[in-house]
Amino acid sequence: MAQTVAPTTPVPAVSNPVVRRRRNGWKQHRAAYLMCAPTMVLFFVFMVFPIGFVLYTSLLDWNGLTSVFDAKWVGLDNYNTLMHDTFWWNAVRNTLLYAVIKILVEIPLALLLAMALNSGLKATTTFRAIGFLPVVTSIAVVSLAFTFFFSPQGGAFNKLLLELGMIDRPIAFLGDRATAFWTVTGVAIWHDLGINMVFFLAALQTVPRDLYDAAKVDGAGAVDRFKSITVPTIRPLTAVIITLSLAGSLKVFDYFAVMTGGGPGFSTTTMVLYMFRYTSFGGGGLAGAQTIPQVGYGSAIAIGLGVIIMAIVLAQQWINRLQDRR
Amino acid sequence: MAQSLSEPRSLDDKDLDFVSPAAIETPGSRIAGFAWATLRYLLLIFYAVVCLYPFAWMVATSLRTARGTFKAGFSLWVTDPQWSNYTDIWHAANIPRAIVNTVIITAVCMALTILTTSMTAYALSRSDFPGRKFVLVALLTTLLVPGEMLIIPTYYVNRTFGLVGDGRALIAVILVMTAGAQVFNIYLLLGHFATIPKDLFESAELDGETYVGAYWRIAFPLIRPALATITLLTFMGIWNAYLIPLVYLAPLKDFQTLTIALIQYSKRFQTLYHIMAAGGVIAVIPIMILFVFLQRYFIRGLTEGATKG
Repeated sequence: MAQTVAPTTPVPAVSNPVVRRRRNGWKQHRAAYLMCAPTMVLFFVFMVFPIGFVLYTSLLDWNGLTSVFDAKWVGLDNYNTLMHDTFWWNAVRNTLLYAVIKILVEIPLALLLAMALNSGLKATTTFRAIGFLPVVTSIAVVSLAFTFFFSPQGGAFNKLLLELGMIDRPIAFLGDRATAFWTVTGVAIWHDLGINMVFFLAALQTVPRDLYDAAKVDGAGAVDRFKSITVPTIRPLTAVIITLSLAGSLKVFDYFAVMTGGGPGFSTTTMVLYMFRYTSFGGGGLAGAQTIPQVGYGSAIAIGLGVIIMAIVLAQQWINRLQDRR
Repeated sequence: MAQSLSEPRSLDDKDLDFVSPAAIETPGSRIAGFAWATLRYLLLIFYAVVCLYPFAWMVATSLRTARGTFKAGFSLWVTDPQWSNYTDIWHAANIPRAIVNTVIITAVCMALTILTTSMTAYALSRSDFPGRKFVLVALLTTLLVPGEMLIIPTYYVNRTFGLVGDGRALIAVILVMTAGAQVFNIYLLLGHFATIPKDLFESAELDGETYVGAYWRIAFPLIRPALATITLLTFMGIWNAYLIPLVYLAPLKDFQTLTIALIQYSKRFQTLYHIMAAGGVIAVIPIMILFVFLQRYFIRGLTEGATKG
């Protein structure tokens, strides 16, 4: 019987195991499936399911301590509350301000440092390493050290300003509404500047040095050289840096959690910090404020911050693409 | 002229050789060049001081007495080093235990990440199995989802598994952190696998190598540089992690990481800055030493991670 059926496709002369694998599908791909399995299990248990679960719990009135099945269904009430929660919008404003300031300060500074490093100086590697050192250290530990550094009781910074006669009495840099946010942002810039400097340096090093010299020979001034050689070189990378910086800054937690705990008041509360306020765990993140176990509402905040972060990052990438096309 | 300058790479080096830049330098431009170089050095030295001073200050603080810390101010000078601060924090914050926990979490995460992500990237880039497209698209879409959004639900997933509230929380931390970084790592690896010709695997298979064998003996060694990058990024991420360990380990006395132990200590003893500084030095030293020796790999790893991701 089998012999009477003519094969519709020519059978390969050599029984090639690769070809055999392609034809047999599911069973022959067992090894590939098994190799993907651990990742996919983690992926579904800790990514896909949680996305669905947090969407679900955001529709509940649930304290997070009892079983989720006993929680009361409240529909979109949590979102309704969130839309009118001034503390939430204040946290959103703080986070956006932080993200924008970091980009505006870090990009010019990092570029300046990278250009200084890229001009054929001796000890470039050493300077690069020193500039990069803060990046590899723990944000929480560094923040703890800066808490004392800026303290009004014996903190080094106050001592210095007093000795220089710039202030009359110590300032509680992290305890005053007027200064806390800016102090923490300053520490964050100190910690993260080095990585952007290294990014820019890597981009600048792709330009042959001769190009600058040739431009000089042709009478191009420093400004012209910057405009027509440096700027086109770093433009694609600048977009990447902005994306990375935005994605990181909008999730900011460690600096504020350790140095101010979101206070005084809610003046330094970020989106992630505000989410923690409504959970029964990780309460240590908030130094001053009491945590309230309302995980249903906390879930709505989680969705809120997720949507804001994804929307901003996507919008930025869309703008990049538009610019690339031009 | 401006036209050719805006396309830097199209210029041929040979065209530029006919005038040496040195030949047209005037004495005036040499002085300007010297002034410019000095300015650049000053800028870099200033930045180097800004970067290093806080660490030096932390070390100095860690060697002072309680009263000394409040009097010292900006100075880095230590007259009578108090090494006992280190033994104090060592016992008070249960540092040995914290080091063991941190090392366990870091090591397991690194091993798990290397193994699972490389296997997946290998299978995804080599075989065209049914569902491959779906996996790629699923991974890509979640690349955008911020991990912070999933802190609440993953906590309850782990609670359901009984991984919350005791030593098993270490497992929860490992799983959450590995899962959180894997999508990015897989994409990094897929980029590297794209550079390996597929024929290599197929000819190996004709020579009798199995599918898994080709992964282990051919693919794995070939992507070792990328795996080194991932290892370093993972190490840095886990060693310095604060948020996830805070959620799971902060209430547990015996299962804290170095960072959590230190922060919890600082909350109990809010003014003992000299002791905290000693703890800070202990927490920061290992990664700094590693950085000094593997500087190039750190920088390359992070740059690569950024531009590929």
